[in-house]
Amino acid sequence: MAQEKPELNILSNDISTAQNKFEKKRYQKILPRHNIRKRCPPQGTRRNNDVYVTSSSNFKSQLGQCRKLIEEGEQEIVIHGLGAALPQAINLALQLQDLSHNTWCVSTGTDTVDVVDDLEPLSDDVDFDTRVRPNSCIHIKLVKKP
Amino acid sequence: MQRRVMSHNPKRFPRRLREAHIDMQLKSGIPNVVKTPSRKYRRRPQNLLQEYNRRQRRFVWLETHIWHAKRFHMVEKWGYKLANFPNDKSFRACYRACKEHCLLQDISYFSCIEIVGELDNILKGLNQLTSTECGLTFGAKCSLQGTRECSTTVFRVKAYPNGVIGTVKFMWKPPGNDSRRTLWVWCHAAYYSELFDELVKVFSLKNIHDCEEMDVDCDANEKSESENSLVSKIPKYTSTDCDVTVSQLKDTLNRFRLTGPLSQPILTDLLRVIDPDKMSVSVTDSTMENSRLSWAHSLLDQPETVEILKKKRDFWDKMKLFTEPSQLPPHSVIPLTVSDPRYHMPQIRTKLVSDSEGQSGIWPLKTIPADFVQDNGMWEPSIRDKSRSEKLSTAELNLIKSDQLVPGACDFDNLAPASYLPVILIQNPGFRPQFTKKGGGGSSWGGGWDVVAPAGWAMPLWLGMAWRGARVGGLRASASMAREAGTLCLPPDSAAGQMCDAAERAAKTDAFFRKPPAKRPNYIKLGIPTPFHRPWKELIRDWNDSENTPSTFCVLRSIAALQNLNSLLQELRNLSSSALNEKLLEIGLEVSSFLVAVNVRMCKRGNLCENSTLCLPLMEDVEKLKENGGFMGPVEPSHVDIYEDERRSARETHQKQMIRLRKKRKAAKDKNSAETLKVLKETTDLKVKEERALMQRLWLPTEIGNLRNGCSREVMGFLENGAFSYKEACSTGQGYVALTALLKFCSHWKTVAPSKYPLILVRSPFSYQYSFAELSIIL
Repeated sequence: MAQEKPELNILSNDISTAQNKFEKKRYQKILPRHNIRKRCPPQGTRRNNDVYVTSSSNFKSQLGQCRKLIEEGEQEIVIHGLGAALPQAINLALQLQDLSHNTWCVSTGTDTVDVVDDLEPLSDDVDFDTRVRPNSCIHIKLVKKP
Repeated sequence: MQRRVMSHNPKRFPRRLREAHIDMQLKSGIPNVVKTPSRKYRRRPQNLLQEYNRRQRRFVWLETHIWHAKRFHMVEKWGYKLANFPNDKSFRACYRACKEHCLLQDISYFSCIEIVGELDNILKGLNQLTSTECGLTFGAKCSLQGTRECSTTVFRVKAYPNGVIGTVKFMWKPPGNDSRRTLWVWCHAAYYSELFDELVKVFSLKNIHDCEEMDVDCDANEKSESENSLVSKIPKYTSTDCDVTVSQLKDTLNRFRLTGPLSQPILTDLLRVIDPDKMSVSVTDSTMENSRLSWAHSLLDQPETVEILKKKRDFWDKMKLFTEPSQLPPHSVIPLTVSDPRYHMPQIRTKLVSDSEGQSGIWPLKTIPADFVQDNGMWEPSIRDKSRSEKLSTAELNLIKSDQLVPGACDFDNLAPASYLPVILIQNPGFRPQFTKKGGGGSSWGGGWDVVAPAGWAMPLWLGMAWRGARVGGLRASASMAREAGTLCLPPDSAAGQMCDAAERAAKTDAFFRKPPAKRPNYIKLGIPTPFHRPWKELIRDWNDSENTPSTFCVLRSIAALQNLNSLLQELRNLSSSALNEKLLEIGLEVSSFLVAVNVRMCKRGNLCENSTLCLPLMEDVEKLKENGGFMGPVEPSHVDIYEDERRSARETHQKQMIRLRKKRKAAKDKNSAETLKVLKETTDLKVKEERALMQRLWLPTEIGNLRNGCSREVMGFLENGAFSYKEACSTGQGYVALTALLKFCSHWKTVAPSKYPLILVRSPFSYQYSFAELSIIL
């Protein structure tokens, strides 16, 4: 398809005129030789009282979920958050503490997990590859005060 | 129940009336009534099987057909009888299964073609069918080791970018000592024969199956055995100019698709991987009553194989620690040898949950080691056959079970002879997120496993999975999954897609004219010339100059071009108008016959549906939206129906004619002139047919005028499908727009951009209301 060839230039122009880091970031998103696919992060326990917060989860519904757990007589709730969802997880824990009038004590643990991005080849001469990057996570344990 | 039994069976009449009745029946000709055999007779296994074989003659059944037929609506599609949707409520349930649990589908209608030969010879032929511009091809470096399954788009011989056949998946057999390589190409049933015809052309294939002659001396027993084996039935073709053999493995392999996080615990629980330590013990232990050497025992002869088997066993134990299939390397192929799943069935239908306590030891698993893929029986037709013939029938297993003192508890491992089957697991990483909105679904949506098993093993595996809590879906579930993910299947420029569209169009037109006229939407007034199909050819015609109108259209598949377009659309707001013009010029003006696949996402209220028109917004629409955020969109003025009077007058004359003919028929009947009556009846039928054709033409004119400027907003393209998406929490759809239209949209949109994402107008075929929707390109 000869008529499509000139379009390739757009990309290279883009890179050279990249002025800020946002544009660079965008360039990384459309790496020409690979597709980037983010793998699911590793999950620990999946008990009833484990709440995993992600940036796309609904805050209000998760708050309701935690309140329901409290009403059901749960003695301990663990809220997990990873990367960009850290503030949301902290916010959730603080809101819960507020709602329960400080009858629950909060203990926080931080950790780092390795998350994996898969680089899927877009052309024949490249192979699959992975990119491992460390990401911060938080585990907030809410325990009912005796 | 037969209605009016009495008139069919004279013995049910009172005796005094019987004679007269028989006389009358004789005069009118006794109907040829075939007595239905009794149910008891019909249900005898032999007769039942015969009946099943008769019913399979026209449309092939999958191995799980009877299980599905009891629970699903079946449709005849692509030469198969396939499950469409279950009898219980399923839309939301299937979505939830995909997202949180496990959705199970029998996709054995994906057929496999095996190509054996020297690597260079195979690639030389197959490269004529693919293009490097569309991504990976058959010779992709990442696929040659046999550790990953890849997919590619196939075209007719050297016809790219036209003549698309469809997307196929392929996997190479891992390289062995032999220089000959084996390739499996998995192809959808809709374009299987088309692809095979191209392969015949490329390799100049000749059938060799007929050359195999039966040995005359072999006794009856052996003969029946060879008849049972599937190996001898596989159609084989050989190339006349190079050393390449092609076999059609259609219907000799089963492929199941599990989607959703629960597929991981289901598979790790279902598949008990062969344990060489235990097996060698059972071989030496001759005291066992039912001991028998299965095909898998021959694997223990070689020490290297035993090592690999042990490694695989350890690896499979670790697999239990993963909670989701999308935590594993994408598209990885894991061949396993597992024991009969019926030996480990749960007592009742249960739902498994993943109970992983951290994956510290194995995370992150970057790739599946290459030596894991070695030595799998799945690639050998003889082993596939052996595993099938060594399989105990369910009746035999039930006999063993019934001998047990404690009902229910039965340790088949010790009681029944060992039986193993080879399987191949293929990881499916799920769909890439397509929609522009932040957090619009995780990347892992739709991830799971594909299980490939030899023929004869479908039901044991199927029941094993269904009993562990997998929810079964049909074709409708596949379609809605693809829509949620924002992808399209069966493209409109392929023969398979066009056939599918034509069938859909015929069915919808038929349904439209079955309605009374007052209940039909007037598509002329609505300004929708093609409510039941998508006129791509006319769209391309109208978006081009009259001089160099391309005769065909095709979908833009070049990855580089699509990525450029995508980045252009995303950066529209930041680009200066001079830079934009430059880029538009660069993209070129000759790209005239291309369609671009797009995702459409409704901004406000309203529902998308298939065949909706995608239109360019006018400047005033966008300005109104900018002023008033609640502006729903412009309204199309009602068009003038020029055929209304013609329809009315035609109807009136027709009715008058019918009355006249009825009178004539009555007169002929009274005169007992059969000849005239016959002629009159024929005339009536002809008139009715003519009237119907005329009315259809007056309701839905066949000639399409100017499609592009037929309405108050310029038409860019059409939607292939659309409905409410649970994942996006709004209405979404997929369709195609003309590339020329998209480029015009880019330059158009730049001047006023009220929203972060490019907005277009969408109109359903039965509504005057345009609505704003976000546009993004399907990569």
